Parts: sequence; C-alpha cells; structure tokens
Amino acid sequence: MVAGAEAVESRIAAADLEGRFTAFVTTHRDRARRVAWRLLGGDEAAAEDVAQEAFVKAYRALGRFREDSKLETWFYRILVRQAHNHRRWRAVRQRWSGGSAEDLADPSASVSSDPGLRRRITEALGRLTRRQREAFILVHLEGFTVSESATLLGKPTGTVKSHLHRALTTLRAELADLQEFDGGSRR
Amino acid sequence: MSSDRDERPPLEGAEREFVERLDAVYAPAPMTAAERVGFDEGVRARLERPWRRPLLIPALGAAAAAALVWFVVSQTIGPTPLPGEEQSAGAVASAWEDELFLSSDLSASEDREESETLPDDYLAIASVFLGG
Repeated sequence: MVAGAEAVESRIAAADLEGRFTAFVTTHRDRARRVAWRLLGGDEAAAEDVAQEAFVKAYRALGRFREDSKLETWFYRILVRQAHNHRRWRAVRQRWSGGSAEDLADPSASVSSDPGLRRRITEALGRLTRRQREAFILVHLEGFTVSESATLLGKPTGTVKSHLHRALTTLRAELADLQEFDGGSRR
Repeated sequence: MSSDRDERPPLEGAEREFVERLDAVYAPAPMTAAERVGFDEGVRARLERPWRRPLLIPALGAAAAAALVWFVVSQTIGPTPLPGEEQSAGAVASAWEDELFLSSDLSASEDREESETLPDDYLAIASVFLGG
C-alpha cells in the first residue's frame, strides 16, 4: 500500500517535472536561441546546438531548483558557458584546419537584409574581448540587468560595467557609419 | 530572472540609437512554428539518448591518486638494490651528503676555486674590498 502510494507520488512528481520543463522550454526557447546566436557570431546551427544542449542540462538539473527564477539564472549561465566553449573549440578547429580566427560564421538567417552589415557587426563583436562581448550582448542587446549579467558571467557588477563601457566605445568607433548601411530606417 | 531595464547603464541620444540599431540588425530571424517544433523535437531526442555521467574526471582523478601513491611509496622505500649494488649506492649517497651537509670549509673551497680562476687584477680589487 505504501509502495503503491510512493509510486503514485513518483509518477506525479515526474509528470510535474515534465510539465515544468515543457513550460520552461516554451518560455525560453526563442530567447535562448537568440542569445546563443548572438554569442556565436550568427552561427545558426551552432546556436541551435548550444541552446538545445543547455535545455538538456536544465532538464537534468530541474529537480535541484524549486524556483524557476533560480533555474533560469542557472540555465543562462550554462548557455553562456556552452557558447563560449563552442566558440573556443571552433577557433581551435579553424587554427588546425588552416583558417583564421576571423573566419566567422556567416549570419545567414538574420533579420537584416544586408549581409555586409551583419558581417561587419559580427567582426566588430569578434574583436572585442570575450567578457566585453558577452557583457554587451547580455545587457545591451538581450536586456539582462547589470547584476543579472554579473551573475551569469561570474564577475562583479563593477567589472561588467567597465566591460560595457569599453565595448560600447569600441563598437561605436568601429561601426560609426552603421546608420548609413541600414538606409536610415528606424526600429 | 527579470529584465528590469532600469538597472542597465543609462544610454542617451546617439549611444541609445546606436545600440537600438545594433539590436535590430544583429538578431536571428524569428523562429517559425515549424522551427519551434523542430527545436523541441531536437531537445527531446537529446534527452532520450542514453546519458552517462562523465566518467573521465573520476577516472583521471583515480589515476592521479594512484600515481601520487606510487611516487610517495617509491620515495619512501626506494628502489630495491640489485645484489652487489647496495654498498656502492650507499657510498655514493654518503659522499654526496658529506659534501653538502658536513663540509666545514665550504666557503674556503669556493675561495680556492675563485683564486684559481680570477685574473690578477680582479684579485687585487677583491683584496681591497674584501680584505682578502
């Protein structure tokens, strides 16, 4: 009788876990893919791979997190790390195959219709340091707060602010003519 | 995780415009319904793969611990000498230890070596400054 009750509880817990996970994927799918896409320089296939792998890790960690907000923080931290690892391995592969680190993925599936502009942005972001790039993308493009980004990157908020300032200054200098490329259209 | 934009560094004028333009241009195309289904199926497929906990780290840890134990034991016990080797090995160790730890006139030895190698003018300078 007790064993039967335990089995029922276990099934309910499993169903609850599945439900939570499905809801979590539905909520964060688009954003996770977009964050990965941006962190990986517009590499569509790699972004999907990294985002899916992060969700798999989140599923296995789901039981450890009672609150979805904590799971969310943990999930994006994993995602950022996965993207970094992917980027690092890609650089190693390029080095061994004779390519250069500048051979970035062509961000083909972008909302922008100008591949030249996308490539310039990708290259400009690629020239930032890893932390500057990650901070800029998380805060300015993805809308995470500075403290959230500091948690995701494992750095103090002051460091993140410093990275943001340097990243923005560098990007504005490198892409000063950005508006000319987009035909002056505003979002 | 909230996206409280108030906590972001305040951007004004040209900076804000620049970031907004970058945000608009540097983004993937929105996922279609079919892509969302494909994405979810991809996640499910990964979850259904047999998952083995990473065994490499524990295996490497065990190997490192074994190597450490072997090293400590070999240093403590020392290599087993072959017959006839024991005396000579001990004699070599004894001479080495005597030279390093027991030599009472090590500095004199250094001085002697120096006087043998230094030219005369250096020796004169040394005798002025060092009282030699």
